[in-house]
Amino acid sequence: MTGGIKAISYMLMLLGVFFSLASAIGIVRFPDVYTRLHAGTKALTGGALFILAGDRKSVV
Amino acid sequence: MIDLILWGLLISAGIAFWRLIAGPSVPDRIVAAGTLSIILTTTLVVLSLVFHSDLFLDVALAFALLAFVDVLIMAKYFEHGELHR
Repeated sequence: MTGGIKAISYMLMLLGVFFSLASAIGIVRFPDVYTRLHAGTKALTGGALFILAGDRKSVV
Repeated sequence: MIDLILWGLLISAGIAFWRLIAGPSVPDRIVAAGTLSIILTTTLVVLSLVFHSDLFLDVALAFALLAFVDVLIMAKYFEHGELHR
């Protein structure tokens, strides 16, 4: 039971890290201010929500 | 395993910091600063798990509020050239 919750937490946190890395790469690679704003705001907030959803005290 | 998440967040912060120091215009730097603030807030929440301390959550909350006001004040300043009105 605890192992399943830990696995789900790590999957959520890794998904959030993936979104964060994709957002950072988009900030570097996109050509315009507005597209960089699009990459750095919405995708990164979604990734932060995934990481915050995966945070449990029983993980570490 | 939690180290992998911290390394991913650190690499993301490094890439966004490159845009902060090399951005060709001022709004690019503002966007990069907002991105760095969100990444560092998330890193503080993960660090509260690593160090088993709830103090990091209070610091993350204050940092998120301060970063929001920071980006807002920077946008208003660079739009109007002055802060009042």
